[in-house]
Amino acid sequence: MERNATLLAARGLTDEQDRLLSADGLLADLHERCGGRIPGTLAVPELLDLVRQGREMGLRLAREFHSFDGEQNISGFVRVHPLPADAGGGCELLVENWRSSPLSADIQSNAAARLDAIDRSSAEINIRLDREQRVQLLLALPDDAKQLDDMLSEKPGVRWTDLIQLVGVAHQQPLHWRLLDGAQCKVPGSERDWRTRLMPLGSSPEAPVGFELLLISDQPLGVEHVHQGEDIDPPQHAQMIGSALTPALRQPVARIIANAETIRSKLAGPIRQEYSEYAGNIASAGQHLTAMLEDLGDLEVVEAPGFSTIRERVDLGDVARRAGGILGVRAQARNITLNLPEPGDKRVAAAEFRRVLQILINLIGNAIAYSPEGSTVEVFLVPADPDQVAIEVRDQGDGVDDEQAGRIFEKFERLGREDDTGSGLGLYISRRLANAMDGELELVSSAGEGARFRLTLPAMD
Amino acid sequence: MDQSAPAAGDTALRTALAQADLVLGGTGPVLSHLLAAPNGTMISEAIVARVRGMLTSLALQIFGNPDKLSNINEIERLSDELARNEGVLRFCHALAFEAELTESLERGRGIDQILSPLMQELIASPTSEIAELAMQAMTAQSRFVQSQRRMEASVHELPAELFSTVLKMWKAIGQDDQAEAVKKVRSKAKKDYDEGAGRAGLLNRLVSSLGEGRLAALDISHAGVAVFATALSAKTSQPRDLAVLSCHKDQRIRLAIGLRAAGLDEAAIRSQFQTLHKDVELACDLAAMLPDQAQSILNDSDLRWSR
Repeated sequence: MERNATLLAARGLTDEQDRLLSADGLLADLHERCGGRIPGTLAVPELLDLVRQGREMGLRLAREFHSFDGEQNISGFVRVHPLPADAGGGCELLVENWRSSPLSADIQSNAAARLDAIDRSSAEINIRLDREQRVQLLLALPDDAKQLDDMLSEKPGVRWTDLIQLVGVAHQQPLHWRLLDGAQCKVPGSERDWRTRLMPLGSSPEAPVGFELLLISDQPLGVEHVHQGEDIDPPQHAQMIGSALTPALRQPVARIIANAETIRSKLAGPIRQEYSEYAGNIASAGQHLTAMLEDLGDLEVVEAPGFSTIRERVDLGDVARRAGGILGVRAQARNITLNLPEPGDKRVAAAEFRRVLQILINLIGNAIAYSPEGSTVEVFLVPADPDQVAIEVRDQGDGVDDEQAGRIFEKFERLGREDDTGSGLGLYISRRLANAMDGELELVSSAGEGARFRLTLPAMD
Repeated sequence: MDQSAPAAGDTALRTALAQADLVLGGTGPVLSHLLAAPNGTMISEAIVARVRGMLTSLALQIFGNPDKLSNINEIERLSDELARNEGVLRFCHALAFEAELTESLERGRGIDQILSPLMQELIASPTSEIAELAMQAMTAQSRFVQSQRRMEASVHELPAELFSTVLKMWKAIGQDDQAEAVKKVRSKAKKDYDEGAGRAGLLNRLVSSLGEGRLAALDISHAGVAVFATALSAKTSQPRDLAVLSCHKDQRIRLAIGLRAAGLDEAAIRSQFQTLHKDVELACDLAAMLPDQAQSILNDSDLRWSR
């Protein structure tokens, strides 16, 4: 364990392509505010540079970094520890002395000017309005603005709000222009979601002589749906609350975690130890919520009618070593020894790499969580039918009795655990994933021994 | 043929002589620089000796096994190679100057080379992590003082980019039959390296932990040279080497601008100058320069050495 517990504000883990695989509250929050997702390429520019540098040189770096989270300047001291190839080949990030400071008024107005410039250059529809917000001139680039153009030629001088439907603005127009700046809207004839920018023209913003109206869409034209993350396909059929709520909940929960972490690590000033511990509880509850949200998102993916996986060459030994590398820190924290397949052990399956990794992370993660401290978790390749390959994860925990064994793969099954860890979805999702790859995930231990799970997959011919 | 051959030789001779002229012409300024005030110049015999010592010690550490006579040629070759690398030279020069400055401030001003008042406070910090970090930094500083007395430098003190460069230079020198062994030593050296555990890394982390209290570190008699230079470099985003060298008399304008950029007022800056350069007048209007202005002047300076 890192000794500088209170100086240490956040940890993160990247892979060999500098994608952030996991991160603590503050770092995860900054990464997401910089436009990143987990897992996804590290989005904090200076950190990305350092991680890349450290990984390429294979050297441990320690540098100060600066960033901007959209509201505040963030700075801190980061230590980048490259990991060996068998532990994922990425880097571990340890951020110390996290500081956030508000922008000075001067820089704030600069930042606002920069945002305006970005919006101007990325707007696809430019409209000039008179002081009554009636359209004078339309300059539209994209094809899906054709209908808007036609409507205007029929009714010149119409108020823009009569053409463009504002989302979430229920009042009758006209409203003060400031209330319309930044609103979400629908453009007739366009499938995309748009955002307005309304900028007053003239010397005084209080009495504008006209406006420049920009319509900006974050979705490019001709792309059916935008990928939400680099690794997570959005479900085609929304069946549960998850798909609608997960993205919406992710950010506020991340904020809760980040703020609780700030309080816990006393970044804003000294507080009593008890309060710091309460904040720690809030943060861990928040992290639990985040994990549940991820599980719910996964659940929908695997339950969608069209869900399928791809077939590629996957070396089970390699995947197991990577999963072990990712969970190494967690195992160390509980003083658990991870026995992973030797680098020479090869068993090639026809499956989807990241799904197999997901299953093994789930199995090994469970094994670490439910084994006694100081015990050993073993991951080993086992013999299987000629056209199959198999791997087992075995722990030295209390194991699973016959009655529990019948239910362990059921949805939301937590086997009577009272603690607040786990959503009860992990094994269910893992088995669905295994089945989708024409494989099987089963419990092979008997009562009285530690839990033993076996993942069987079709062999690559 | 008979006529052109001597002509060609003639040209070659002329070129060679012109080069020799250049070398001779250059000795004047170098000599007079070295002969100037013995302690006051940027490059003195003492500095040259220190840098040479450091280069050899770096080469020795990389080869790791100085008993083997067969290695001696290679050590010399690597040390020569290092001497041709601007980054390595700059690093050694800054270290040599820092060591000289640290010693002379202890003699002249009674500023402890290792345990400054600020370091003492930090070691006594109620936050145990800061106290521990300060202890580690102090240990590293005392190792630095020791090794400088022996005119040595540790490879683990090199910034990561330089460390990586030095390993590459060594690889380029190595003979083919040793490739395997070299690879082994290289990967071990890489594994052992941790920028955050070296003196500069520890000082950086310590200064970073001070947060807004970094201003306290910008008082050289309170903080000591090592912490002072680190804080100045962090506050003004200059490389530490440059922050160290700005304490030299001839670079005082850089120091003045740097301190202003770091937010010190005129009185505080004058007091730093009093400590560092007692008899030298600072000929610029500090009060008229705003910190942001100073930072932007600094950012525009040509010598934005990359690490």
